[in-house]
Amino acid sequence: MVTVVIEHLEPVLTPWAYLEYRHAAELAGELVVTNVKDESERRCVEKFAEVHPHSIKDLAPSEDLLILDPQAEALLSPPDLQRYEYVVVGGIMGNFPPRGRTRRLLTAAIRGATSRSLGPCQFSVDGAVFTALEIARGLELRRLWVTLGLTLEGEGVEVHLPFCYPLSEGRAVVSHDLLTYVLTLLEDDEAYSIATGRVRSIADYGCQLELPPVEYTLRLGRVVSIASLLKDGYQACKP
Amino acid sequence: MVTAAKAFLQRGLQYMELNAFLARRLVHAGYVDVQLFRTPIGTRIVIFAERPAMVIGRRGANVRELQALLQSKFGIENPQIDVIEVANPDLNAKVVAYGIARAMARGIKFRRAAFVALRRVMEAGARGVEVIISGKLTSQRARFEKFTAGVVYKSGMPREMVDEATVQVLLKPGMYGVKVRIMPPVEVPGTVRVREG
Repeated sequence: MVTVVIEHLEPVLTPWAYLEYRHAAELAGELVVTNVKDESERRCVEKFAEVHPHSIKDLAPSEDLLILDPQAEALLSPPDLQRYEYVVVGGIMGNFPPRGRTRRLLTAAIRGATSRSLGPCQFSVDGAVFTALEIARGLELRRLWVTLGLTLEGEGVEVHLPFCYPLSEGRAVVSHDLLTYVLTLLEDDEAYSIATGRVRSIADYGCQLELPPVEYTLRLGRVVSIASLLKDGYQACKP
Repeated sequence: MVTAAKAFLQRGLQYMELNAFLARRLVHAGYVDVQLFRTPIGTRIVIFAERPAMVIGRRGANVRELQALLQSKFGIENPQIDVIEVANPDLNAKVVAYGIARAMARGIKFRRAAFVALRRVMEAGARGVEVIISGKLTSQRARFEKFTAGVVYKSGMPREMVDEATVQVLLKPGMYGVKVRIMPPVEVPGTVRVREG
């Protein structure tokens, strides 16, 4: 079975990234997180995954790597995941519309590695890992159903996440802890960033997020199959 | 020869540059908008602000400085500046959007800033208000957050009554956009009232 690798590409391992990686580890069972430069952040990740300070390009030969890049021309298929040893997901907290950072920071940096796409829309890190694992189990990517965006309704606020989330038994693959974090601690973290100019890392929380209980409703966006998205291209990704 | 289309574009561009310049310079005066009128003796510039005294300055010192700047920087001939106070700033979408942006730039939590704005707008008598804060900070995902109170029409004739403004805030760790829609306290066409007998 292919090994899932997340190449961390953000300057800081924020609680948001940490919760996505942790959920990806729960989905994959075994997970490798590379390129985590900060030692205190590595200590947080090693609780659920194998973690390295170096990039995957220094750890494995490029011909064994299959990079998931939204800008790749070919789609990911089940035989791809039998041919390669590692499937690499970019640890990027995406922009909307996407800026193509996976291509710039990952695909272009690893010469000789193959890249495959999961369709025109941008997945969350854990969503991409879930999709890769489903394909490794034999599912055709075109037959995968996704929701274009998620709306989180909390007390007096609606938070819209404009990304693509795969569906499993009609429910979006997203971590409950992450949604709780978005409705509770995120506001405080962003105010801190703006006031100090410094982004709060998971290490600042001592690797342990104490998430207060919060009630919310999760609303799916447009539910479509990847096959229908491929017909319409990137324009179809707009929620 | 300057064509009509070119002159029209130049005028639009000048307004845009001037608006951006004044928004930066008069941020503490609660700058809202500017209007330009060309007259035979020069250009009349009407500045709408929440606190006109701060635009004018002591004995008109700020206005005189601004006049000189507009002449040298934008090439506006003989600018005559009038400053008008915005009536009921809590019902003006631009004032509210700038207020939220300023609060966020000071490091106030964005949801708190939005809720305070929502309450003030509703207390000023608005029929409804919607605040959308969107953005992407370093190492966080992009997202939109929406806060609503009352009714804000999105289509039909009442849509034209909605006051709408968007403000961008560039901060050290990233960029935010604040969009405010206010439905003023006016009667919507087609309102049905039951007469008491």
